[in-house]
Amino acid sequence: MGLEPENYLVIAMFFTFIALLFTGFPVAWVLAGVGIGFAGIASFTDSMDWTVTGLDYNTLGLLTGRIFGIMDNWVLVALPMFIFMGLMLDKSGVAERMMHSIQRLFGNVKGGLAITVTLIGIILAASTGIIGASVVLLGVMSLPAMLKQNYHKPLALGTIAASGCLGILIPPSIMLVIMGDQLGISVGDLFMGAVFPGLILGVLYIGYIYIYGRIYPDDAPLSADHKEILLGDVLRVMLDILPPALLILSVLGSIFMGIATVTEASGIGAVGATLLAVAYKRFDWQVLKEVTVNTMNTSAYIFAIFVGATVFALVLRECGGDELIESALTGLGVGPYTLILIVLAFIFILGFFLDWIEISLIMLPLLGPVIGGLDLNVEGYGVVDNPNLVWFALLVAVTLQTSFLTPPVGFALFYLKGVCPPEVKLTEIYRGVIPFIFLQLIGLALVFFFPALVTWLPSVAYGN
Amino acid sequence: MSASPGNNYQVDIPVVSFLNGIVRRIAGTTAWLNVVLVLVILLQVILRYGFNSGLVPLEELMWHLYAVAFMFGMAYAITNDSHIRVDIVHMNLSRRKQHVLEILGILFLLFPFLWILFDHSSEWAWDSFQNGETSQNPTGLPYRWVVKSVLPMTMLLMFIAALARLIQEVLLLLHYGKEPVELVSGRVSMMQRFFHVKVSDNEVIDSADVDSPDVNKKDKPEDESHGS
Repeated sequence: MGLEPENYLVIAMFFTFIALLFTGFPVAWVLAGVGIGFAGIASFTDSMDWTVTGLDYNTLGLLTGRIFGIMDNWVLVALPMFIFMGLMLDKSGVAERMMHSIQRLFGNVKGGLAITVTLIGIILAASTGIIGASVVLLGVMSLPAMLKQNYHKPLALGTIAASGCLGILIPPSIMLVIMGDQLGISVGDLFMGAVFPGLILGVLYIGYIYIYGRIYPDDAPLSADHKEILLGDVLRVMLDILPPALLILSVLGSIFMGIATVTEASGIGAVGATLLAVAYKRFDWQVLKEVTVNTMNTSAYIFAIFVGATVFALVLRECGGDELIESALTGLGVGPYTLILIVLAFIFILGFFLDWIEISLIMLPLLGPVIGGLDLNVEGYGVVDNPNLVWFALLVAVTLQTSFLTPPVGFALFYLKGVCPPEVKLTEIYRGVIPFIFLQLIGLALVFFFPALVTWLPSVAYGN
Repeated sequence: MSASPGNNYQVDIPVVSFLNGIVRRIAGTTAWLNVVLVLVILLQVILRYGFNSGLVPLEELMWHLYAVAFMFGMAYAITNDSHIRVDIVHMNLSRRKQHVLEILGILFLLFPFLWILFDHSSEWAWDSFQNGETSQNPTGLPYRWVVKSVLPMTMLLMFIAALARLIQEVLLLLHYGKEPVELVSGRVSMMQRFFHVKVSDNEVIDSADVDSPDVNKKDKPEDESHGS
């Protein structure tokens, strides 16, 4: 395969991007700046007749339309709304309430506290689906209690890091909204597709903690003041879990049953979360203001990467980057499934340095056409559009989760370290997450070998 | 250090505070469009499912509101340094190197981008104004130039915020002014800011007890009432 002169520009662009990333300058502006810079270089090499890219100052005028395409994107309106809902849920104090009451329910089970943490990670994925926020939230909320109960530190830390990462997978995850947008597939399908993989991982985690508690009871001791579970306790747990669970289920349910669009459901979710905060007497002007400003801020740094990636992608495309990547991938001469494994391995490594936002926005548009064109045997039951891509998106999601957990540089580990008391060592976190990485890999393998885990639920929903 | 959002990363330099203040006031106001957006969606849902008549203008209003909020927010996020960085290497560099890198980045990566987009988009928004462009949907919203002009305005706001940052970095490099306090590396501190959790010193355990009494202590009397 001979390289066109333009291809050198593409390669140089990628390497410049990676090199500049490590300067620690904001990723969004590195993307935008490298894009603009290479447009300049390309217009120079064009003028020297070395390349034919057609890039010049005027071509960059296309950017306005592209960026406006983000602004008038109706599906992405759901993003700030889900963020609003998550922040409001966080403020409403449901997490602490649930922590307290579920813990009571599992008070007589060895490892009950760790199981509680996992359950909260699952139920409150909505409030915690923002990178790292989950780990930070769960860490602050449960680590002191676990350490006080004399939990084996690695077990406690591993549970928190892993449960925190569930949030990016379990719907309504904002990562899936972005993936749906980038791959041109239905966000509703992705939400539904994520249900089983998410539940499987949750069950694996809980099963592991339970068995661990059985084998090493001293590592996962009971609370000193545990007592019999009374009927009143069970009722109280119900009372505490029900409102947030109902909120999440109604948001998801209305999407799954096709009653509401993702955008509408997200807005209603935001209203519901606010009502919860009011009901729990946590709502006041100050809270609303903080949630509002933080919603703006959080969506802003996500959208900044959208904008940066748009600039980068436009210039890359004009230089023939898309074809280069497509031909590089198809030129590997491997079967479709091997190709997917290679891509996942690559994404796994990228996950050490880049957050899911950047990976979804830079890699997925490049990979989408290639994967979509592969001859895969993913059953769509005749009703799921693009089953290949839905399945692939979830593979990427689980891979990213695993990546964020993996030492030495997984993000979750650093977020967790940031909120740990100083006596907790990074090596203890490393040791703690290793079993969970294996569980993640089991989950990933299950999704890989049984695509129906992903596509079956959406097919049933549409079948009716 | 109780971190109310916006303190431990700001440096007290009058020009910088002034410029940041402009951006923060504008974007801090438009942030409320998110709340308006929630209400508009609620209204739309009620109309659609209660009265079977969704409104196209409302639907378009949704993305108008969302666009203004997140676009101006990008400038706001510069003023409190919450844009995502890859800080593995960065956090181990000396302050001096960090300042130099930041200055170079603003000058050679951010400014060219801001200028090019400002130049192209202001012309594009002006065209829209002159042609009286409206929504392509006959029942949609008029005055498309309003939302289109958000793009050049964003670039302007981002320029102001980036200029403030540039001045701050140069002054700090020259040792005028006090370094901002950063307790932990960039992203972790960002998350803590947004989610208001306590910082990682010994306070954690104490404050967990004090802050959420319902979790630990005060509940015990309640227990008994439940049990009986």
